[in-house]
Amino acid sequence: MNPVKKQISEGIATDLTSTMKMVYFIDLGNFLDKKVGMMIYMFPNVGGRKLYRWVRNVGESDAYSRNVDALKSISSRFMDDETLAKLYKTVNTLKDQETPSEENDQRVKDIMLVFRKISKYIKDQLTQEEKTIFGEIQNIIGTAASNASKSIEGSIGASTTQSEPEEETDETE
Amino acid sequence: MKRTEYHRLIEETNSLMEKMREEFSIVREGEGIDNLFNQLKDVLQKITMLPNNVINANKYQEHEIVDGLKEIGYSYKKPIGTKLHFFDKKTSISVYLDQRTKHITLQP
Repeated sequence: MNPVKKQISEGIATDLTSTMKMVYFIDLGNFLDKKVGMMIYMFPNVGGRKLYRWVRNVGESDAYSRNVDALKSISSRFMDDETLAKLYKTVNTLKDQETPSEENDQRVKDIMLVFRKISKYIKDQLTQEEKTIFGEIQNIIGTAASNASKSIEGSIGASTTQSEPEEETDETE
Repeated sequence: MKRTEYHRLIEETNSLMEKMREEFSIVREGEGIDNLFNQLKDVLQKITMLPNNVINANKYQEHEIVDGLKEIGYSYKKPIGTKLHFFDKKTSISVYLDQRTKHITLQP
């Protein structure tokens, strides 16, 4: 991969993980109550159990214990939110949609656009105090968010199709 | 003991429950409507009516209040300072939950 493309790709991964932390954050109250949260709309193929497994250690942290009520309140508020469900479903469709390699850059751009919308939507719905709690918790959910980002990158990779090379015709025949 | 809004509501609940029992012989102690009223009493014990349509729900945890509001049809809109704005599309009533005081304000 050329250095510019590599830099862009790394930038996308960072952006993705950063939004994914927020996605996990608003679902923590559900996961740690062993309920299927909103993330299932984005990862129906990964499944609730795996999504929970990535984040289960968070329940043992001090930051989580200190903020249990706030986290549950946040999860309850976002649960069944129609706008968020639509955005999550869009990510799911885009990441799994078979796409020819030459159109893949556009698909990644589309996914990133939806992620920016998700990030803005969530931020707009959190109070200042809750944003502070996110600051406390985001390091603890880093691994889970990174696993979820990798899953998205994997889906994009798996659904990218290589264009078949044009068959050479032998004109002498 | 000073008669409070809570006592008045409990009395009304009891009287309503008696009427229901008389009208519907099927309602037996500990079943159906009884359970409903017991839940209602439980709620009334945890809230206090304040002036100007304000409910003090500070004996509940925030997530319990949020769950309750969503159950009765309010959806979360956005935060306004330390208050959370909920809205019921059917009745066009807004409810504001103050995260610090756990006071709920109704605004038609």
